[in-house]
Amino acid sequence: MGWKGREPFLLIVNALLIVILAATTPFMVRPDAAGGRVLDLSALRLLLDNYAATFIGAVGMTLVILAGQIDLSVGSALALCAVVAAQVSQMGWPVPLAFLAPILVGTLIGLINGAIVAYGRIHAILVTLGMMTLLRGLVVHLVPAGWVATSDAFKGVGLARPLGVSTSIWIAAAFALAMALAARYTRWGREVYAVGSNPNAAAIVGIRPHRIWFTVLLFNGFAIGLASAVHASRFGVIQNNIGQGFELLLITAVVIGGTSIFGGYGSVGGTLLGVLFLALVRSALIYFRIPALWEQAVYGAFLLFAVGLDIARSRAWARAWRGGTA
Amino acid sequence: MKRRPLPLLIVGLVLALILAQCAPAPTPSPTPAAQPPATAPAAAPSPTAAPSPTAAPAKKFVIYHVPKAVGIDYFKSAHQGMEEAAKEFGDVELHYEGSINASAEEQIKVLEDIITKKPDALIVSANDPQALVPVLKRAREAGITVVTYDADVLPEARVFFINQATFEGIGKALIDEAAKQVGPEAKIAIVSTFPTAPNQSRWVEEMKKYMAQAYPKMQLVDIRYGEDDQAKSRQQATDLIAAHPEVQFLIVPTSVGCPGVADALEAAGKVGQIKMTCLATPNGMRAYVKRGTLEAFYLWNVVDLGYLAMYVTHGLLTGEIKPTDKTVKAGRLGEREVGPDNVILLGPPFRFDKNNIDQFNF
Amino acid sequence: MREIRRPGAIARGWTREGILLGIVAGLLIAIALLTPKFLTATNLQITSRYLVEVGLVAIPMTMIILIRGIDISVGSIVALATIVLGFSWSVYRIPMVAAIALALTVATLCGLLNGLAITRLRVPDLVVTLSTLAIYRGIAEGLGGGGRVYLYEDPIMRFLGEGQILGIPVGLWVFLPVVLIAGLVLDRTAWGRSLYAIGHNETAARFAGIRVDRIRLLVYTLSGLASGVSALFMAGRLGTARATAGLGLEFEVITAVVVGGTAISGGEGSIWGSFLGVVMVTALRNGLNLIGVPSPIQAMIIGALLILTVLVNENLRVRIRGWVRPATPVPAHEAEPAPAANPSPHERR
Repeated sequence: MGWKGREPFLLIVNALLIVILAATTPFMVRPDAAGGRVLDLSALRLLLDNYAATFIGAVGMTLVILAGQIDLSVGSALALCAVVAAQVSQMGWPVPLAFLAPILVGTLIGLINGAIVAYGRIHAILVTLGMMTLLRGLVVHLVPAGWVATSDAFKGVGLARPLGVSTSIWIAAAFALAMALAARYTRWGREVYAVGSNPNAAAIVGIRPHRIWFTVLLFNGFAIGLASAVHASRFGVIQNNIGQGFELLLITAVVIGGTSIFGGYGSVGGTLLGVLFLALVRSALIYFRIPALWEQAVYGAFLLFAVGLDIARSRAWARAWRGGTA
Repeated sequence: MKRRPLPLLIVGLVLALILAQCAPAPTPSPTPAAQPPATAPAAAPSPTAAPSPTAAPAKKFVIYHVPKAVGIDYFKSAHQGMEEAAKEFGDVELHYEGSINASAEEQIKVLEDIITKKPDALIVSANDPQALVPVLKRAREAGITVVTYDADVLPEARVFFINQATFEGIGKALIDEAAKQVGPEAKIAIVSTFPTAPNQSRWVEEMKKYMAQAYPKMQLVDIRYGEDDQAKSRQQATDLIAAHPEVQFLIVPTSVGCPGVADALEAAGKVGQIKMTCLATPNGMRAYVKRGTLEAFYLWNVVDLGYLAMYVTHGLLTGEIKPTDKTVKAGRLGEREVGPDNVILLGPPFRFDKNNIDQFNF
Repeated sequence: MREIRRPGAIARGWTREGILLGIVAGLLIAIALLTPKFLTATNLQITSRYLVEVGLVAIPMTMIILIRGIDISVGSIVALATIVLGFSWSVYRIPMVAAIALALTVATLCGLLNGLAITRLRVPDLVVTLSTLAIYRGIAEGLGGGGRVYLYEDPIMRFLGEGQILGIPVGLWVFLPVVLIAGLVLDRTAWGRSLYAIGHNETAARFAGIRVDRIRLLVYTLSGLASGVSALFMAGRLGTARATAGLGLEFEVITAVVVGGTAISGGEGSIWGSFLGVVMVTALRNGLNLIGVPSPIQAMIIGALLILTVLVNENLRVRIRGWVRPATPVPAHEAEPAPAANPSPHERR
């Protein structure tokens, strides 16, 4: 991760945001009994906890975009898998099963997406657009009551804090680390970058683009399944309309994180910083008392600003052609 | 360039469609939509005689229940009440249709297609009081009886509105709860759905009004919008209580966002320090009340609301109830008064707490 | 020149859209058989109003997708135009005609901004329109203050939303000629051909002297304008101006355009196909509603339909263009060889 990537930029921006928030709002600082100021990391911790599912989903999406595809069905898939998790937790089986079930469903969805893309020879954006509508309808159809409750045992695991760090963060960190290492150090990872960068060239060299696309979509399905398990374990009630707009959130995070929308350039680490950036901005809007009505506009402006600034800074697009570093 | 006869074919198709429109059956002649055509009940299109309730009901009244959105338990419960009433009558064919999202635009689409099917009546919970007016007016012109419940439209577009509780009543109940649990000088915050949601905006308005008048020292610190999404509601609540540590009480006037906010309190470990109340269904909040995350919340008997709506609608169709009536009889609910603008009130808001929550199943 | 008499051209012109026409006709017949209400004048009139709102935006969207772009901010532009229209008329009391002009101007500007960001700042189109999706709707929400404006009393709005000339809704009188003109332009003019050229191979098009950036700017601006016009009809039909207008419009439009045979990789597609796509999607929704299929199932059907259609379209295309296929199996979207200096960001999807 040299100084050419967007990661350092994001690191600085994020740090700045945190510092500003800490200095001017009760974000990380709390007055203690004696009237002095005490560092209170609970807000930050809660923020990370709440965004754990987003972190996981964004990592999956990074790989998809790195390979040159896009998956729009993640929001609806999240809802479906979360509902499955809740339902399974209700059936009295051991808690790990309630984690496993959504992962299986998610992977299955990823498998279908991947198969259609690989064998049907279509760009994923279309398949997943259709899948998004289809799955959303399916969820509402399967849960006409509007919501499914989760069992207390399930929630217990989700909200637990082994070693002071919540299970969600443990899972998210492990997954992100595994993916980051895979992207950088495995052959498969290299192939993903290659295919995203120039599928024709990759094909000539012997890499099968369709096979790579199949695997990234499969992995993304797994990621969504995992994310939904994490998400579901933190709520007492899962509603059938969750996840709307999730896909745009993930894509935004990935793009802000420095991954090129065309594939071939970017990193998992950048995406994580991107998610953090978005989370901080969203929260900052509340801390700085931006009237709720203007939230959306400010948020969009931030997005454009962040991307534009960085693109202006790294004018040499030619760099994008040289393939990426993790 | 190549000749492409194909476009011609397409043009042909279009012309065919257009001709089909110009052809016979022009739009229903616009009857002066002024007076509610609650005349011989919607039986206008159908040949059977209408009014005599004694006549053997060989015909069934076709009624469509169009909630704000399908897939929400609140409306399913209302539907339960309607089905109960329908069973008592025995001559109702009840349908439940709506869009997946609580969007006025989508609801209008659904309504228009239902109108084409010419049912006898519509029972609607509107996503927007004004946007639905044109389509509902058209329904009435076509002879369909229109009754609203839970969320009204402008009075000229429907016969009766079955109100669950007055806006003032709800605002008062929620603010009083804040005063009761924390005190008349409480600092409160609200987590609502959308800034454009009509019911919620009215409730918030009423809350502010009542606060200013009854508890002048109570302060509304902030309002955030959870957009009917659990995760967003939760995140907004989390940030809200962290950004404003002085907040003591949260009000969540939406059954969809309430569990999310309760989860936020639990996750932040602030149960007991910060109190909350909301509008929600007993089934949705049961676990939280039992755990003590919140002491009480408000709603009304949604099943009864549906029951009442169906009674009124059926009465209009059989002629037992006229649009000018001042009281209506509603089966096991007894009598209800008709207020100004033809609004029928179910009753005051109902307070659910851990003592009575198990008696209800909706 | 490549376009001369290759079997692909005739086959392409006939086969894909021909099949689509067949499918749409079959669908309409099937629906008409299943619900007699479908072919009634009232129903067709109502449905055609939706058709117009989606279709107007689908025209420039087709052009954008042809040149390998995408615009997902159209729904938000509709929202902003609607709010500008409603609030300038009711709060600032300017005459409706002026309000309409203002709304159209704002919408066109939105499209122009999109185009400028893409061509001048070189930010990828998905990123730009993703941001403006949030920004434009956000401005609409902020300006609107969460309220709504009741437009029902204004005669112009009533006319746009409910009026008919010779029994045909006003919107169709605008939409159909636009379809015709756009289709002819794309088929028969050099400008139209250049869109296909850009979609197939942007670098080559550039070198051939085609003003790629100028064209790109134009189509995005047109998209904004079309969204504005669509907003007018929508506001007229609904009778209100709200910041939630047009939610989800972008996906509906893209679905229709793709179902109509336009390839997301650019260079393939036609206005006629998109028109058929819009008809198909609208008719299907209407038909399913009339039959009484519940909304969740409808969503599942439309999602499946999109996937199936794309599968069919894409494989048909490959089969027809079979002679173009190189020896190694490469994906439908080819990448260009290493570019010259300062390549455009649109080269590589």
